[in-house]
Amino acid sequence: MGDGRRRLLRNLWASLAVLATVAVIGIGLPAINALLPAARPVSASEAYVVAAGVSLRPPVGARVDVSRTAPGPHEGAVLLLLGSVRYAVVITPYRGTLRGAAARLRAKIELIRGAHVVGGETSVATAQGVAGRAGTYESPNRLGRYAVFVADGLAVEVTAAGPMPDFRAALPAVLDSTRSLSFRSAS
Amino acid sequence: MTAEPGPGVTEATTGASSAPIGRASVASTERPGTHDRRRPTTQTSPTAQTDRTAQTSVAVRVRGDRAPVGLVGKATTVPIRDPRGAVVPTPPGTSGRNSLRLPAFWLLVTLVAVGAWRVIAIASTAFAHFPVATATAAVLFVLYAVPFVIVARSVDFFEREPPLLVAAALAWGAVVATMTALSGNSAARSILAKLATPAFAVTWGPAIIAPTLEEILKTLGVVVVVLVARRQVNSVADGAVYGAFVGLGFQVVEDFVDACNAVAIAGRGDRVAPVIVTFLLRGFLGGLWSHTLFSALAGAGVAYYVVHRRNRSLRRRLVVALGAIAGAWLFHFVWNSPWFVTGFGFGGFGVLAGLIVKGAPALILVALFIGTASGHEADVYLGTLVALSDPRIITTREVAALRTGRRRIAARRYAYARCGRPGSVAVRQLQRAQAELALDLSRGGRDAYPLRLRVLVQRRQLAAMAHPEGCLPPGRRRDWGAIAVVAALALVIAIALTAAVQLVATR
Repeated sequence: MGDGRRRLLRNLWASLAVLATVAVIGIGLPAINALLPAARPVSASEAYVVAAGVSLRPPVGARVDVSRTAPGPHEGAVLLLLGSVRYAVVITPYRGTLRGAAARLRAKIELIRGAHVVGGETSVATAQGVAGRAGTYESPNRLGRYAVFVADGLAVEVTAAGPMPDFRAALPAVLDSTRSLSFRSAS
Repeated sequence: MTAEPGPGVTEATTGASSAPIGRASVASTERPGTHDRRRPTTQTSPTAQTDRTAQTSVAVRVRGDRAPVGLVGKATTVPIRDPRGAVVPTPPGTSGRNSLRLPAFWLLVTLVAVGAWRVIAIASTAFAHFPVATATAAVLFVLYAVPFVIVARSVDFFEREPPLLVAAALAWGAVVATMTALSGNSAARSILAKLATPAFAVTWGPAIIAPTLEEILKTLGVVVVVLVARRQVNSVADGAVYGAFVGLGFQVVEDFVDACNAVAIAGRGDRVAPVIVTFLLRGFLGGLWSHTLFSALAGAGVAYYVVHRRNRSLRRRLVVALGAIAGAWLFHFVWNSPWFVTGFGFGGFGVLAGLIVKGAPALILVALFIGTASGHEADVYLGTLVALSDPRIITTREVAALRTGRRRIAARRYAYARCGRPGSVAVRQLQRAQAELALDLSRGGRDAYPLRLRVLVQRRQLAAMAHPEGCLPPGRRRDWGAIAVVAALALVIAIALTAAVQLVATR
């Protein structure tokens, strides 16, 4: 084997090693992640602290998706799974008005491919008395409901969506859970 | 002042460079009484030759393998050989076409194409929703890259890396490393949340996952450059340059994607405020000690492994290379860690202090490391000029002024102060011509004849302006210009932080 051929082979093996490393990170890790279950049971009888002192009572039978949950002292999120229905609560620091927060959430929903808000908004409130705005949205084969609350310098964005029959079945539990939202010191 | 001809001079006299230099000495550009470079004892500087009233004479004294360069700062010497083996010159006749046969080249092309397709998809989606904000982000972060390119190129002064290889390093960082990290980071964070807790993943995920995956991916960019064009990686400084460009590509695209995400998350339509906030926070406050710096360190380690393969043991090379990569990881880890994020309870300025505490040590240590490596490289190239013992090619004071980017700029400023812009331009061109001659001599001196003529022409231009040397100002001890730049930078950072905090508060 000539020197040139040997060098070429060395280059080939090194290139394959580089490719393998890139593949392990770019494809292997997502594949391993997909193999690991993300859903964990969560008690419906105890308040679940989402982030920044905001808590709620999860719907009965809900499981928390730990891969999409990010607790934190100033902001955070939780994704609860009710069968095929995804129920998400996102908390961010916010200094604007409730209408502004609602408009912001609607804009985010419209960014989801194929999703759009339908109908008007209604006023809602938590059991603690924090006022919010709620509405409905839909995307192909899915129906969704959103609500937004502003208190304590925070905006709490709630969205729940799923295939139509499952969503209708889960909606009362989701609404109960949303009403249970509790702020550290509600305004 | 006399000196015995040392071995370095003998080597230069009889070496590969002797023929073209000999031809140059009879060229028409020479003055009568052509200087005989075989007389390696004492030469008076062109200052003395052409401007007898202006300056004192300066001689290059060659002793053994070293020549003194002690006029500025700490006395030092320039080796006229390369005892450390710090530079492995590119062999003459090396062609880029050879790379086309290599599997690594096609791997690079394929991965860059795939990565570019993904980046374009992300950018076009963002542009479809937020055209003004996306365009602003693109322009801002491209402009942001300019000073980094200038600094990286100043490290690269003597032996400029081929533009195509620099572009390849930049592209690897910008599209291959970023897009792979995008998938990998998200999956790894999710795995961490599943195996530990979501709270742990939120707090420590960025510190553990991002440095691990991103530093590996970016270092692979330098490895691919080595695989594609090993002969172009001539020194540790070269590795730092390629690493810096990989890191810069990564930094720019990551910040651009973050800015687009910030616009979407803000949910207020096509507004540039989130872009500005991202630019200030990530560009100014985090930019100095970010990917460009980390990858430059890792790249230097890879280059050490490659360059010293003939004069260092495998074990030592592995230790240095892995140590440099580990250093990059550690600096990245500290930067991404949750330490000091509350700013010690002192609000915005406390946060600024926390950022400096976390980032400045990395900046200082890596700058020192790369500065040392770059200095070693400069010494080797300068040594080839010093070995000529010809003050029309280079004087002792010019050797001192050519060694670092800051000094080169100081020499140009000095010329500007004495002769205006033409003087500054002429010194820059002289420095460039000297660097190219040094590089050519290190590679066998095939083009030394025309390059030497270029130096002599530039020298004559300077002499005509009564400023015959591209040297530092006399009595220069402290680089006040650099200090002013650092102070101005600190001020800009403080202002940027204040503006960023205000913008975030009004979001």
